[in-house]
Amino acid sequence: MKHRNLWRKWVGVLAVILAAFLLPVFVQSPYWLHVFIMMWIYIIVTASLRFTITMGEWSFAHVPLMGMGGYASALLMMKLGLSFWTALPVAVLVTAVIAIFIYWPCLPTTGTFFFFTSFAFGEVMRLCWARFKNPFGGQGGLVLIPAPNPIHIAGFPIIEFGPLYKIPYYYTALTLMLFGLLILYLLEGSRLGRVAEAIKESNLLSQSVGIRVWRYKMVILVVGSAFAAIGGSIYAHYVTLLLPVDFYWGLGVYIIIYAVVGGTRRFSGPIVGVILFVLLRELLRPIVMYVPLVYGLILAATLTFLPEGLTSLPDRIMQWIEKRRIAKA
Amino acid sequence: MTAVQFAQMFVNGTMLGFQLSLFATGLTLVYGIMRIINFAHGEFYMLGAFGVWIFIEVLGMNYFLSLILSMILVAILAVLIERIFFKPMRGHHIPSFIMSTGLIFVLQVSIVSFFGVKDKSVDTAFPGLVKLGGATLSLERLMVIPISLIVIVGFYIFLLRSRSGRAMRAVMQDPDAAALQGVSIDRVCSLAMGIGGAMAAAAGGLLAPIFVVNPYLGPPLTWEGFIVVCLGGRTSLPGTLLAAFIMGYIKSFVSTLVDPIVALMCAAALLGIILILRPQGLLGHEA
Repeated sequence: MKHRNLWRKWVGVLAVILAAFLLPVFVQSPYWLHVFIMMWIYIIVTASLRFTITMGEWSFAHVPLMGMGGYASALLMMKLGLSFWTALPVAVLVTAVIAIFIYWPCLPTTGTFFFFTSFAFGEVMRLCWARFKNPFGGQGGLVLIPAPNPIHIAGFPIIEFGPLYKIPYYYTALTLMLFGLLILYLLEGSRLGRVAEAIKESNLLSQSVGIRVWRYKMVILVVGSAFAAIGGSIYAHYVTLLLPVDFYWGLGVYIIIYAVVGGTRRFSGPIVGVILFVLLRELLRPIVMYVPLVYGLILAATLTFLPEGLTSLPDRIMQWIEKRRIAKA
Repeated sequence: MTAVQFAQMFVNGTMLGFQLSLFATGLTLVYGIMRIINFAHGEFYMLGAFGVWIFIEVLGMNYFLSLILSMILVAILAVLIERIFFKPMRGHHIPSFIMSTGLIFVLQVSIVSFFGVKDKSVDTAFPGLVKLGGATLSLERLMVIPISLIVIVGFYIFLLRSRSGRAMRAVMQDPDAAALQGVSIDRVCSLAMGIGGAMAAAAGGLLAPIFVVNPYLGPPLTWEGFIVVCLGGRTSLPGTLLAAFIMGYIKSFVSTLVDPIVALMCAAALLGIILILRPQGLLGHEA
């Protein structure tokens, strides 16, 4: 029974991935392609935030670090003349190192303190981009970020990126997103994921059984920021404009809302949350002004009635049916 | 820096300090009593400013009357919000924070849909300039100081002298013990939220003629309010006042002498450093 369920689950996942790969065949409008590209970027950022939440601390420096990934790869390409395909991994490394410096002072704190301290240091970094015009472009932002370099593969036509060629962006974002999700999924099933669970349950208890809490927390946070940096880097080269304001806590709040409404307990939670909210936004396009109102109401309803998020709904229904059956018998 | 410049910066800093003390006292009260992080507190400030704008510019009322009316209306709204949204969130920091961000969206959009996004200005009730030892200061900025002083002193008298104020202080110290003594926690929570909302609205109404009024005033101020609350020690009301003035002077002096972004940076760095080195804040007790 269990095996059949597992098998079904994986077939479902593969079907969704296949559908995502075939989507540009059916959807040709650049507008919708843009919506889906942004959706993949949000999914990788939200899923990596959820990965850091699995150890029980909510980081508010996540979105500034995503921006750092974008700034790093844009500057590497613009100032050092690297190709996008080398700038991306280097930018991820740079962001991981900066994440160590940002989280180093935050880590002795826990809970709300961690939330606020990470907020504070992320904000200091964000304000640096606004303050220093020389590399970061100041408050006017970093403009004219080059598109990723064309891909040459022998025997195939050259794949070019540009505002008129959205399909390469679509596949780049989708592939990197799936790669990121795969790694995060494997990490969660590995020792690291189980340690994160232990740290969430009790800091002290895990310390007493020999887990080096500080080190594991740092590893989890840095890995999470590295995947956020991938999202930020694609974002930078896709939008070709980085503004410090874009990474103010508004976006951080949206990302947290996606994760919370989807549910932070399950791996699928942030994915469901992002897809739901992004599609909802498109559905409500005629009344775009009221979108935040609808978001806020959905959020309030979810927190009040389904505190574990939408992905806990099937389990809730099953429990309810079970209860009814027992009550009847 | 001349003495004149210094005087102007000092008056500005004092004004900002009073604005932040009015604003952050409510935050401290709500955090201290309900243990929730209410990021929607800035929206009460925004609604207070909008209330004053509606009563003065649209309905043509007297300044003081419209200030008091908008304080009362915002207090009623705050109590309703507490009853509907925050009651199940008591004691849960992160869920209450997320809930309050949802409320920010709801309140902002409601205001935008009624009044649009354009900046609005309110005519000052105190036109004119004052010359103090060579420095020219505008009367409207100076008048913020006595009025907010009246509100703050009134609040402290209420807190220290009245029965409800004693109940509030008891709940802040130990909710369970207070409940055992017969204090109604629900009533105290509503009262705290109402008073906090009214004080934020007072700050908004006082500053409305000096700055512009728009639907997006709330979030940046909330952020500063939280720096003040954490700096002062999250459940300490005197600490909040002290931190509000530190923050006000930093904002005024650093913005003028260096630049506004550096002032924000200093504030953020101050928050991070204080939370690491002295998590209980300047005058707080509990860690």
